[in-house]
Amino acid sequence: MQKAAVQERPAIALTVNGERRSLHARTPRELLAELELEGEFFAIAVNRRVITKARWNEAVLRDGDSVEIVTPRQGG
Amino acid sequence: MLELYGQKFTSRLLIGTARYPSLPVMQEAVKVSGAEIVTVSVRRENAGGKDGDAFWNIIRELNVKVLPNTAGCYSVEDAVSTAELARELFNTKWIKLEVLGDKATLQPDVVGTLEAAKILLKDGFEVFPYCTEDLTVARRLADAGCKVVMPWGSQIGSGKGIVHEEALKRMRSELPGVSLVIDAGLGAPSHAAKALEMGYDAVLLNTAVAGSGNPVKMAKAFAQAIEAGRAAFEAGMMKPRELAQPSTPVAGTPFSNAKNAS
Repeated sequence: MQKAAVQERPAIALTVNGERRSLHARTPRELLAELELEGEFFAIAVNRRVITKARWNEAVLRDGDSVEIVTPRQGG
Repeated sequence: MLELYGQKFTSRLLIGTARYPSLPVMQEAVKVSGAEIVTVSVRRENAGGKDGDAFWNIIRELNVKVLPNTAGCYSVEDAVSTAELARELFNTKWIKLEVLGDKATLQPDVVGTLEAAKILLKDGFEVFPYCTEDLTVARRLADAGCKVVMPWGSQIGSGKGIVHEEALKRMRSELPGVSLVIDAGLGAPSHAAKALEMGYDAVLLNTAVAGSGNPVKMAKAFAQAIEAGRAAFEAGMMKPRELAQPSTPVAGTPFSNAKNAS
């Protein structure tokens, strides 16, 4: 869906990476766009369940969902 | 050859990617170390995801096998969820399982570690559990299906080396079929050499290299120590003796007489 059309929908409450926010996205793909995340390498979990990249366009985000968006980082 | 879940490696060093002065230094240190496996983590995105991209591009250039960790997890639930994110992010079944039990010592919660390992193994993961020197725990992990077990040398980032030598030697002799990796606490190349001399299959370290005065030089030092330690183990070291034994033959010592030569 186009960005403008996404913005016209009513906002829902999503907790993204621990922060409660009011957002218009209804799918992980729309959420990445709304948050203006430009990186390529993400993994996403909604309510602790991983949403594979293949399902980013179809998985539905609902009011009250908790989303984790992670990237590769240095580790020991 | 080092064997981990059926895959073979020439280098017996697994190296961390954190705490280097810069990404280029990390990249060079990993190259020089000869390590074929690096540890990485999963973290919430920041900076619009660009930090993750920059890091990941460098790792991909290194062309190494990636071992993601669950560092910082203090519950079974968090560790399992983090492992699932790591599998998606890095496209690997490998997971370095850390379930921590204490913030000051970063000591593993061995009960939680075993519980999480069972869940992950059942879900198809190849689990590399971080544990203590406790033999029973290591055995339970192996019995659960872990083909690799990674006891600590000492506390993470402490640089104290191998504190529980007797227990770790015992673990080595009791679990001959398990790939054992000393993970955490090593500070000096001699610590790593010691681990390999003891018959450990590999070592995993990070701060000892990243936090040294010259990470690239130190990476090389560890690689050499690990090679030496392994060669010594394969050669078979002499058994220590209580008293001296002359290395130069006694027979034919000049000015000796038959009476005191014996």
